[in-house]
Amino acid sequence: MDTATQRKWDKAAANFDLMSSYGPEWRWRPAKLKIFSHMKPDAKILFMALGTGLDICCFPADRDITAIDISPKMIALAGKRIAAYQGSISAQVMDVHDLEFQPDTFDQVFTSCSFCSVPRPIEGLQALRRVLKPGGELHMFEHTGSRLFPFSIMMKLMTPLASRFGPELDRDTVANVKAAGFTVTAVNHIFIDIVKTIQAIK
Amino acid sequence: MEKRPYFVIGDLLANAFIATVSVALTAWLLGGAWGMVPGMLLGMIIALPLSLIPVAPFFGAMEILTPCMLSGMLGGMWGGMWPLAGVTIFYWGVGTGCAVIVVIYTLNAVMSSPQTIRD
Repeated sequence: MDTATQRKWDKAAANFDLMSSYGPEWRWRPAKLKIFSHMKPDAKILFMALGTGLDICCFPADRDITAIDISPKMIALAGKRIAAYQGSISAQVMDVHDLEFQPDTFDQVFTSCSFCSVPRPIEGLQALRRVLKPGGELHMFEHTGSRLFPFSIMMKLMTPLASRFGPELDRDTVANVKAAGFTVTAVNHIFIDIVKTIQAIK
Repeated sequence: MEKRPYFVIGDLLANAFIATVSVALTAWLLGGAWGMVPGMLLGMIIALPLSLIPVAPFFGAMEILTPCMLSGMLGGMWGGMWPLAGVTIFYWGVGTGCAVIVVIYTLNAVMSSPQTIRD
């Protein structure tokens, strides 16, 4: 378990909803509803980085979801949202680098704004690939760095400060997904080339 | 492209506000004598906390931080290059903020399309 990362997100938990629950979630809701609509009724689903459960309201009902997060404080705050979900969510404290699931366990993996923060993203994605069944699907809603000037430079300049309290802003998550061995099938830009959905298969 | 009035108006107001503050502070601190690059850097430094604390919780994350940083950077550029004062600061700030939003929305309309593999 990466205790430094765990402490960072435990510390962020108290103010997480204050910063993220209203404007950002309302803004992202149409795109999140769309990506989570891919959750199949009969699939075994892993949701990575549950946080305080802000995404749960966008999940379709009656799904069997295993959710993980590195921060026990985040998961504790997600309790009410988990209880309100009309389906099954099993939340566990787990580091994506040290997944305790057997290989080929899940049909689908979903992530939401998490690979901006995972310390070793390629290793984390490789771990997700390991627990996916052959042909299993990876669906990601992520913000990444930009290839466009001047955003590319701005985000590189902001990253050292932003990463102290939260995410890195200049990650190339699409390249990381490919480097982890996935086959990328679709990348949809939600906001310029910064906020995007990524779909890939094992 | 974002069409909900709450966010469109919020984007315009936030960017006009941050660009105006950035022009005013850089003009006051640098007095138009320090030039473009220090003004741009100072503008970004001013824009970051302003876009994080009062703006982001209401209007979004990267969708508001990115244009606000650009507005701050451009506002800082004007303040760093020219000794602006009085109502001119307001005109340059509001004009910059609105121009940034027009550019961002146009760029977003061009870059967003359903089910496209870009890489």
